[in-house]
Amino acid sequence: MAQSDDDKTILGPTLEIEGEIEGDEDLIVQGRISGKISCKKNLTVAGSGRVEASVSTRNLSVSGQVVGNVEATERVEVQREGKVIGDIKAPRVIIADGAKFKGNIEMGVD
Amino acid sequence: MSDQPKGGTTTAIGRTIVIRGKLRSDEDLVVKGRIEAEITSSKGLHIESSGVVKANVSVQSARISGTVVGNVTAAAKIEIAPDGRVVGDLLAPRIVISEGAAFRGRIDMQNFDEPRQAAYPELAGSAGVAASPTDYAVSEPGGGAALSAAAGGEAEDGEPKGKRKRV
Amino acid sequence: MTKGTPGLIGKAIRIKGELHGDEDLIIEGRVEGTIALKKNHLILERSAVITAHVEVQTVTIKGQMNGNTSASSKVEITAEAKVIGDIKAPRIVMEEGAKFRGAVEMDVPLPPNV
Repeated sequence: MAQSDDDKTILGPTLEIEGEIEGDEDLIVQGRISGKISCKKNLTVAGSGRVEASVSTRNLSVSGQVVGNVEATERVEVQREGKVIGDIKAPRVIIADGAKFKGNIEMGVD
Repeated sequence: MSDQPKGGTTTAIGRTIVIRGKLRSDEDLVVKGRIEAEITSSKGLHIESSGVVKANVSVQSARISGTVVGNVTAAAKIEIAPDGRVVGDLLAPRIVISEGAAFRGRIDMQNFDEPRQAAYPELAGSAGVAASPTDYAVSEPGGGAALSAAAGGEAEDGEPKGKRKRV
Repeated sequence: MTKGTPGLIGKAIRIKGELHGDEDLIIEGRVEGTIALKKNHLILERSAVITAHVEVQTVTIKGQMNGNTSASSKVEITAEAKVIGDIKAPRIVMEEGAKFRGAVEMDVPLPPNV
């Protein structure tokens, strides 16, 4: 089942990417990424996703695993099944009950 | 949005995506964006018209409607579709270049020396007999055309299989 | 001289040397040497065995060829063909099943960002 629109990219569960990913569209990671992710829209690390990278995006939602520093221009949400190890920098940060997190959080502090 | 991995998925890499580095996959890949990463996949790769791959590719099969600058190796088949543009070497048992495609590089088919039908005599030539694919029975005295039945005929044996027609 | 019917080199004919001309040609036999039909169309039939360099306007290769091909317009390699050698032409079509080994040179217009 492939998406037919250019609105989002789903990097499937068997994908392993080492290096840099840049995109101007929504990105869903179901596989393994190591390196760097730059997404100008919404980035979702799905349950099967394993990201070992520095992440820069507008919105981030983590149900899988992220090891690395994360920067979002709008919001970061770590879901109940999610796990983040690294620093989070975003105006809004939500860490759900049950989520695992270790690192620093920096929200917009005036 | 499904979170569980499923077998037989396809990943479509969108138009605005740029990937640099190395990419490994065990699912079909559709590329509409730009990949400057070595691609290794046990499945198929389809590079759409907007897709650009600037790296070597090693996959099960490849269908190229976009641009590839790099060598393409496929275990099964490489097809350069009408919009395809490829600069690099192709290595696969089956290769198709469609009308309209553009290609520059080497082509090597690993099964090249497998006999397609009966063994070809050396290209350097043997005494008076043209290459005899089994579809043709040649060197009939008098040079008439003689056609035996399609593949599988043992025309060389002198034992004609199927009809012979004088043309 | 009418250009209507192409010339034919039959299956039992073997030529060694230079073959050149100004008309379309169908080869069913063996040719060793060079073939120059710069403004014409050449068809190498399935029974053809060519050990030669070929220079044509267009060529359809259905048989066996060992040599370089240069076409000003188009080269077509059909499914039954077996070709060793380099091909240079603005348009090249290769069918599934064709056997080929060599270099291919076409003009490849690359998009600006590649």
